[in-house]
Amino acid sequence: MIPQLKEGHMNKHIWIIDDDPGILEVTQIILEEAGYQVTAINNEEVLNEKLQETLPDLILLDILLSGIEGPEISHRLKTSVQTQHIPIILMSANTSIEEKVQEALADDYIRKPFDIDVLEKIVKKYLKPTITNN
Amino acid sequence: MKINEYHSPLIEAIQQAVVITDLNGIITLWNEYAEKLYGWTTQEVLGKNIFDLNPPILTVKDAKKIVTKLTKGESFSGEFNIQNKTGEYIYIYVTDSAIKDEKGNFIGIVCIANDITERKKQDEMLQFLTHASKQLGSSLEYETTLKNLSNLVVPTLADWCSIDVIDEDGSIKQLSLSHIHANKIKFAKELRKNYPADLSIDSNIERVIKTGKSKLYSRISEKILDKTTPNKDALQVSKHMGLISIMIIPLIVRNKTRGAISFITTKESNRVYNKHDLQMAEEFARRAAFALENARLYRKAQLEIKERKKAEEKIKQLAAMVESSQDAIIGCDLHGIITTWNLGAEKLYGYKAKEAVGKHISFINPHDDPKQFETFTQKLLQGKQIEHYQTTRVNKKGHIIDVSVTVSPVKDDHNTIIGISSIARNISDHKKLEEELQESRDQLEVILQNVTDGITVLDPTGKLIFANDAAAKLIGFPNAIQLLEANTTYIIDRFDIMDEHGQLLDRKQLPSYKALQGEEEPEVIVKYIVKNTGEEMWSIIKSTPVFDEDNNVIFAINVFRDITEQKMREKRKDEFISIASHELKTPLTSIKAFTQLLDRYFKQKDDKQAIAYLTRMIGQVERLTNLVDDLLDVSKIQAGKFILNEEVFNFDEMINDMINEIQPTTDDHTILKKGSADVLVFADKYRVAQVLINLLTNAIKYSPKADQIIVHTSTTPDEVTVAVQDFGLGISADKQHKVFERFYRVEGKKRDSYPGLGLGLYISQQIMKRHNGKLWVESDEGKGSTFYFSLPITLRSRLVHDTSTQGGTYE
Repeated sequence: MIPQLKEGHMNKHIWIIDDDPGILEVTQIILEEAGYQVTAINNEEVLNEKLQETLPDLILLDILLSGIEGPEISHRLKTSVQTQHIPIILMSANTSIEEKVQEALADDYIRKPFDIDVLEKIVKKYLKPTITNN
Repeated sequence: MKINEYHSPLIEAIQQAVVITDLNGIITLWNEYAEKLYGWTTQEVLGKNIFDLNPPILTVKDAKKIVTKLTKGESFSGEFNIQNKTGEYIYIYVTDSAIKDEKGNFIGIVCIANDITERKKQDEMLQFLTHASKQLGSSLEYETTLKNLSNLVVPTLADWCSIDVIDEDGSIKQLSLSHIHANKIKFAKELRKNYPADLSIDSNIERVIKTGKSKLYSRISEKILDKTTPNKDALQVSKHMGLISIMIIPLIVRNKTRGAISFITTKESNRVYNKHDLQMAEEFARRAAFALENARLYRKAQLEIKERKKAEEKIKQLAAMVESSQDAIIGCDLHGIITTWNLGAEKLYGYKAKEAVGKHISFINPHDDPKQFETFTQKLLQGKQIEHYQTTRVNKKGHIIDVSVTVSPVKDDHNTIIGISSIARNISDHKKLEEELQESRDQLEVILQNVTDGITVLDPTGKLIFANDAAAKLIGFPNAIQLLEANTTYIIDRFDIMDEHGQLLDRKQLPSYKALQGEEEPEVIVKYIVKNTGEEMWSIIKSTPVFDEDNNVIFAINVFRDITEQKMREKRKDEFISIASHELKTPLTSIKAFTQLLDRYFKQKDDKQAIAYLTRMIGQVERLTNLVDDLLDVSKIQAGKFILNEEVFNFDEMINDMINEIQPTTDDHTILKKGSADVLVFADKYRVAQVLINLLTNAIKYSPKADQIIVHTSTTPDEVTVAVQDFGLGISADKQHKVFERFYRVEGKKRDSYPGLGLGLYISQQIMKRHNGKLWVESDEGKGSTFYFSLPITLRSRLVHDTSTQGGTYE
């Protein structure tokens, strides 16, 4: 871990949306250790509540969320004026994910299972540290 | 002899032509009779040279002959046939004597001529008639007789000759027309038609035939022609023909005029007929008439004989036909008593003719209505027909025979029905065949109704003409009958019909429609959804057109099997694999992430033992992930849902990345890269990388004792090729093609097995196939293997120069 970066990331807020507690837990640990503020959300209801309160800087969204599919949520957020600026990264256990990314208007994707390095790298790509804001 | 003055009156009174000339031929005397005989007057010829007369009455050659004789002191006499002044031929008997002066000098010739024309003609006629009788009697053939007649008449008696007879209907028919010049027959025919009415040969012939009296036109002058010919053309023809004389004589046999023979002379012969000629002609005509009559009678007799023979033959043939017919032909009188019984009847019923004739017809049909014969008779008398009436008969052995009977009336000359003939054909075999056919049809029907496949048959208009119960049930009808009664459009409109991939099909795209157009297609999978219920069904359909001899479609047979159950099972399996791999990957994701976190933690603590264990763990997690991915890929390939996400990328970069990724997983091998492929390709980068990874991990796995793996890359303008070479176990030639099969796993020599599901190369080959690329192997057992794969460099990748394409991220 590089402490300076950790400092720089403290103000970035990431929402992780997945119905699996195990994934939510480990992802939260990885990203918090990388210096981000992380909120774990396990269903659409909670997501909708949170959206009333605040908006994140980035969303990690599982593609097969039970009840409603991830791409639909992504599409909804990306077509809403309030939320369309938020980068969305889809997560999927499926090997064919590219098509879904386009449908969902998401920014990028990551295959499960992932290397923690890769997760950190892709999140960093969309959340450039803003030292000036610090 | 000296001519004295007093001789003169004497000479004039002589009924002989007396002509005196000097030795030079100068005519010094020409008496009155000479005027009459030769045609020239005394005045015309006196003092002229006899050789100058035209036509000549004496030739120089004859004169020399005469003078020679007279010089010898002899006299000369002989017959001459000469032309008189008018050109008419005459016969003369001439006696020439020398005239001497007082001193006995030869000074002139006296020529005394008698007209012997009549006598000559009589002679000729007698001669001719003798010849004619002989000729006319020589043949009984009508045509020959006619020909003979014409030949006799022309040119001896006439220049042309026409023979006309009265036909059976009373009209006059020309039998023959001949002319000395065959090419003039045409004119002669025309002339007959157009000749002036009172002189018309036709009307004259008619008159002659009517009256039975001959007609003679001795001399026809051009004056008469001019006066009486109304038609210019006819006149021209008349003049052209140069008619001189005509005789028309009736042909009379047994006091009955049968026709007429016409003798006509023209300028060809210049002959003028007189009453002697007429007599002769009448004599000739009598003979000719008999000859013709004989010929006619002979011909008639011949014809009658011929006809009788023909009729007899016909009857014989008919009898033979009746006798040899396979059908039973029976004749009977109006009371039903059998009069004839042919061989066919003998065969069919088993009774000989002698047994049957005289019996009542009903003895062979006791099982029928006993009044059948009366019914038939009644019908026939009413003029009705009885054809192919199917009934039964009993033969001699008592067996019942199925027959088809045609009954006809037998009529006498007055068209009165005097009997009945019956023709019966044995149709027992036919019936049996029909029954067998029906039976086999029934069997087929039972088979068709009981197969589980749905079978329908459409006529060329698309109308359903056959369906089995299985088809009815598949289409949603309780049975085939109800389905067949339904409207085809109604049946089709109950469904949304789609192809295997869910694409809606219109009516023209349906297999049965294509079959009706004559297209024969392999079986196709069709998905259809019942509109009101939303129920999803699947079928495999095979539609086959059936053609007639002219290659027209006469119907289409559709065989369809319900595969809904199978499709649903497949769908559930796909869903299961998808869910299962997802469910497996979810804990795997946690395990992998936690393992890596732990790895970081121990690396910070520098706990080498823990790090070593964790590295092993990470490797195994990776393997588990790959296995799950492979299963997922195979299920996608099987379901036809393996989708490529193609993009343009730099091939060399991809290879370098992958080598860098794989190198850390082996401590024993060094991966060397040879050659370069610095080109852009348009492909699914993730999948191509997957192939390379698969080949590299295989190379590592199957060369445990080697320390090197070489990756060769090369390009041509059309393709890029990668070879991954190992120096390991190798694959025997007989197993090389098997390594690409699903679930195939290489066994080592000592039967030690290598881990894996045996899916890697199968998936890799599928990936290459989907890219229109290739994957193959070259190997020497014990020396190692080289796996090659090549990708086409497509136009698209050549067009893209910008390498900074958006790519996906690899795990």
